[in-house]
Amino acid sequence: MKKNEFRQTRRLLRLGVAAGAVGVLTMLPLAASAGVTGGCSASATIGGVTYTPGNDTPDNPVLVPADQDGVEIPWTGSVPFENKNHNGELRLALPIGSVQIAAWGHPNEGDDRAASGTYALDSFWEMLGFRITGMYTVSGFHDASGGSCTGFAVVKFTGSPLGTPVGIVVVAGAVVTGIMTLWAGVPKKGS
Amino acid sequence: MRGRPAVGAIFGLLFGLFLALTIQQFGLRPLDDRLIFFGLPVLFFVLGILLGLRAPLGRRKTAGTSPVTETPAASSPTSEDSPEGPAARPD
Repeated sequence: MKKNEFRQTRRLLRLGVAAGAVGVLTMLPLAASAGVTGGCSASATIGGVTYTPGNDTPDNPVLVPADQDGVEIPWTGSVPFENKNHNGELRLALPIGSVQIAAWGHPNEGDDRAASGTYALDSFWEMLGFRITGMYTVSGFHDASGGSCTGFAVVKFTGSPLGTPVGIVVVAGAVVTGIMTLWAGVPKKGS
Repeated sequence: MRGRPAVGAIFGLLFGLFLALTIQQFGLRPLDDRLIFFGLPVLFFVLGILLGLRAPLGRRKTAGTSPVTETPAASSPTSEDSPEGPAARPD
């Protein structure tokens, strides 16, 4: 019985080491990524700080306050090529795949190559229906008659997760499942 | 001694996932961090099984009641078993 348990434990440890190796290998392509390609530029100013696609690592994210109302975000963007018949999209990266969060497209017969404006963050919260916190990678592309650009940035919505419904569910889930995992290590009666 | 390896596996996996989400929600790692979102569930899946197999938590100390300690007392030579026999009793 003891010998069987030992063999089983060794097999599980081997499985764990193999799974860890797969995890490290899948991370390597992410480390080799770059912020933006194609010569486009974009920036946004939040709380007096100007952010660009250079904010593309977890250590240097775009900080967005999730716990403040009435946040206005001035932004600018430009392309270095002919910009007729353009289209593009923004995607939110998930552990597997991504979801589209914005898309655009226009004939742009006048060939405007730069744009600017002010984005009201409250409209994003209204669209979502609730607030979120945490760190997310946002990627996107812009295609036009004269060229194309791709890029990504890391965005961190600051504020306490316990002030949002998603955060409460996640933290409560971690506590409950953690307790249940520990309970699995308590000997059964009569064993 | 044996705990609950199946419970450990299921809740270990879920705990790893919720822990990864907690780390993301507190803004420490992004949502697409595969090392966190695959590594932690696998790690706690394995740890949960090991915890269930070995059941190291909440074990009672059995030194006072174990047969090892009781046996010498029970089988120790009494005055009746002793070579001197009942005659050797002090009273």
